[in-house]
Amino acid sequence: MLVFAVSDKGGTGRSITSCNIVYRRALAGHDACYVDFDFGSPTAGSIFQITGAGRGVVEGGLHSYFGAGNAIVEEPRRINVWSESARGSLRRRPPGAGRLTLIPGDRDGAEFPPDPDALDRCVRLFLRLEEEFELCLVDLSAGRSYATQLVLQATATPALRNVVSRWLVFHRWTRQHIPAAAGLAFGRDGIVDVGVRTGHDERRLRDAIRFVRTAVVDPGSSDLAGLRAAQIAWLLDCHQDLLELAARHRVGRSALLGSVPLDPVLQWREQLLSDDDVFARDVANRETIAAFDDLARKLTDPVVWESP
Amino acid sequence: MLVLGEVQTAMLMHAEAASPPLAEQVLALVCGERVRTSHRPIGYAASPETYTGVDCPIPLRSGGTLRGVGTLAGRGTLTGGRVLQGSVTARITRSPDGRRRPWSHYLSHPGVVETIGRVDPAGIAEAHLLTEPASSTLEMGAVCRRLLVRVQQSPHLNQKSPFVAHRTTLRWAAETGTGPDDERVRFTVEDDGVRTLRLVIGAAEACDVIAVCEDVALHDWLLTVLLATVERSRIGAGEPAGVVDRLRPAVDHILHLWMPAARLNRDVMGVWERLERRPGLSRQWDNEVRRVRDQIATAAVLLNLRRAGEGGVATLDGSR
Amino acid sequence: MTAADAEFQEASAHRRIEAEPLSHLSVELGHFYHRDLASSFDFFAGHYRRISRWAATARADWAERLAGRRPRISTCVLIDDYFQTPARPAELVPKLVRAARSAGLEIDYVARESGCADRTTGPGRWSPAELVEARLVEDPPPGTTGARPPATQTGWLCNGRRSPTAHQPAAMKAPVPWRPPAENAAINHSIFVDIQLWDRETGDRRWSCAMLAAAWQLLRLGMLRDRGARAVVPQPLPDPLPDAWDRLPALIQVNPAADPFTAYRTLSIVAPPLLPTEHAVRTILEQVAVDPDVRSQIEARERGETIDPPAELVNRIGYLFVDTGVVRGAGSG
Repeated sequence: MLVFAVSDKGGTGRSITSCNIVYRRALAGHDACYVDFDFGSPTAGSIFQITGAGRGVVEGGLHSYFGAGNAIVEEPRRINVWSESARGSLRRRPPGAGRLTLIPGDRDGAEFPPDPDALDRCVRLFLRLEEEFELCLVDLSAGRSYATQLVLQATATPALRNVVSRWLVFHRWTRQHIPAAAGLAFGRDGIVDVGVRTGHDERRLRDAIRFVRTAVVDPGSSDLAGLRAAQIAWLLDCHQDLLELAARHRVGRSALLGSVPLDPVLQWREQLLSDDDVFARDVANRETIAAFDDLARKLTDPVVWESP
Repeated sequence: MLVLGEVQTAMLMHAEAASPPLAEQVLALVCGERVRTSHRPIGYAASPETYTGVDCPIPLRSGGTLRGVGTLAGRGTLTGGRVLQGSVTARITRSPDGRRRPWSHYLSHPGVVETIGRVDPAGIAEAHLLTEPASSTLEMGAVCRRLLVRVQQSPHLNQKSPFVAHRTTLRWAAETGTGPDDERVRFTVEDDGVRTLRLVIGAAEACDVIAVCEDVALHDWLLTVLLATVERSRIGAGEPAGVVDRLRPAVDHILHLWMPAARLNRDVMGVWERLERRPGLSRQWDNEVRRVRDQIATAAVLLNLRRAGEGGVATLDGSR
Repeated sequence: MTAADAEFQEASAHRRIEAEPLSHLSVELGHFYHRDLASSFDFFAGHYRRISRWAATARADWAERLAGRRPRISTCVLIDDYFQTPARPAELVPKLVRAARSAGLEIDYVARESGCADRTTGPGRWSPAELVEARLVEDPPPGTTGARPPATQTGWLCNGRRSPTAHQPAAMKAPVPWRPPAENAAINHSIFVDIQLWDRETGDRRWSCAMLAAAWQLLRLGMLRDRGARAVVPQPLPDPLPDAWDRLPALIQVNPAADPFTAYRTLSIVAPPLLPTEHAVRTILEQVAVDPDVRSQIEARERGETIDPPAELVNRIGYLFVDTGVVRGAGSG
């Protein structure tokens, strides 16, 4: 299964959440891979804490593979996170866990315009990953990007038409982010609009899009016990207001995959949250990991992906 | 004779095992050339040969290099309608004159790479098995991958694998023409699905050497996939029904494919005989298969007991 | 079991190659472009008169090589009906045959150029041009490891390394600087050619003259097979000749007493303006890997006649560039 992670704006926590989803899937025994299509800023290596690949690999990553008309490798490098992460708790594959693989970009890589060669390479790459991984999460640059256009073209080709593709649109739970996310999905030159132009069936593509709310403050949470009643009432009002706004923009309940609570660890240090962080060190919230697990599970839950 | 090769083995991306006509369609890589098929003792199809021109340094174990010019021969094969292999080879010979010749010369001897300079078969063979993929050496792996992707993206396939399986890569080097006492077989299992096979054997045709290496790659892949499936199934830790669910794809799609040396010529049978003594691939396979069958039998018994407990009495045939 | 191993074979696992009857030499008696094909009888008669003495020399050469055995030599003419439609066959074919006879030459076979581009009656129904294209193995510039697919410019084939193309660079990256092209087999200096194999000017794929001529050479050499079967087989002259070229078989045998169409070697006697095209044909043929089984079948037949097979395919092809009279419309491509 191919899953594409997009967001209209930067700073939504798209990459960090995606990495954690892939990590949870691997822990659950599935072969999972994270593909860094954030070509303008390939930094997924830092989330997995790969030494020497924090800002992409020196050579042989996705930029060398696509190469803007001058590709230098036939296959992008794969990093086995279980063996190459600098973080002790990641460095041994737990028994029964699946493969956890990062396909990084190149250091100082840049965005490139799509051309027929890039399209062909993209199709071959996805087909190869579909062969070897149960989940292949492709993290795309924020906003309307060449990368998004490229993957829409690729998934419309006959070779990938039968491969299950799903889209996750990440947005913060704010008045500004909700319409922006809706616009990226359904607006002019958005995913559906461009997808239909590249040959996708509109209905099928719409049905394959779900939203993920990030940095959500839950007014009902016990963490907010210290707030004054007036503050809680205000938060509840805001939340209600946002729910109505989301429904108006067709990003309401039926199109929701899940929410990730605001977690200081994610805000300050973009990294994978291990069970260790929650239980042994007590620095992260149990709810955050539960949210990642929930998202990871729902990716393949057929009930969730019925027509909204 | 020195032959170098690489085989990549993968699951065909198709929901069902490919029928013989479908196998012929997806392996028809060169128009006007036939796909060779055979049906006994196991379904097998091989694409026509494809050739890729090379002119590059060939590394030696000593650290030096030789210039090699010629063509790599490649083909795709499909066994049991399920296991897809991309196989690329080069016979290494010495060029009689110390310069590159017109290209048409090399196309008169397809599948041969001529070295300009003295051939050191053992040095080339060892370096072939050692080198990390580097841009300056024969990139057989890239040619394998291109062969595999051509098949996998065929419009005749539905691109739906019954389950995901890691590819394996077998790099091999074979010297033939040695005396019976000097015969050697060295099989190495490395990380991330990479294996190497070094053969020093008696008189054998290149095509038979290639066949035995493809056969070893095929069976090593089957074993690797089965081991991974058994490990993920969480025998002993998970619910029996869940364990059986996770084992089922292997039962449905690969258990019947184990058939070492099914189509080999007698000249290269010795390679399998040695591999069966040590590391004993069939021994390990049989063991894992027994484990899978035991799990399924146990799960069936447990299921029956549970049904019996829920009401009604279990009878010998499992009906109530 | 050792000595008593059973023998087992499955028919489909082995390859059968159909054998062709073979002459020693196939001589092409000139090549006309469309504009010339509308000319008078006298034009063709003059053309064949100029060619006949060279054809006679070729015949004498083979008689000497075979030391007393009768050389099997067939002649042929290729009519350009691919890019334009010439006068109808019923008119043109008899005119050419009579004109050749007036110069003492017999035309044995007439082929249509579009026969190299049309689907054949072979099992896969591939056209000869498609069969050639499928067997192209590009001449690798030094440094080619196989890591990347050949730098194919779709529809083009060259004999070396092209200049880098001006790709739109990635965002904020510098463009690639210019570099001259280089011929792989250059001796000191390059003669680099880049040959167009086909275009899509007319919507469908339209093969170039060079590509069709390469297929034509391989047909004459009997080197093309469609799943082991001969790609094009000569048909008897239809009586009466049809009015439309596309109703004529791709290859017809005009002279019932002729030696076989396919031959160990070919000789084309053509006017010098055709040199660029033939250079392109050679460049293509140098990059064609014919089926090794077909090659060895033909080589075995040659050795059976005590003739040494040439080491390389292109060495089977000979040319005489001589004045064959006015040639209009000739040019490369």
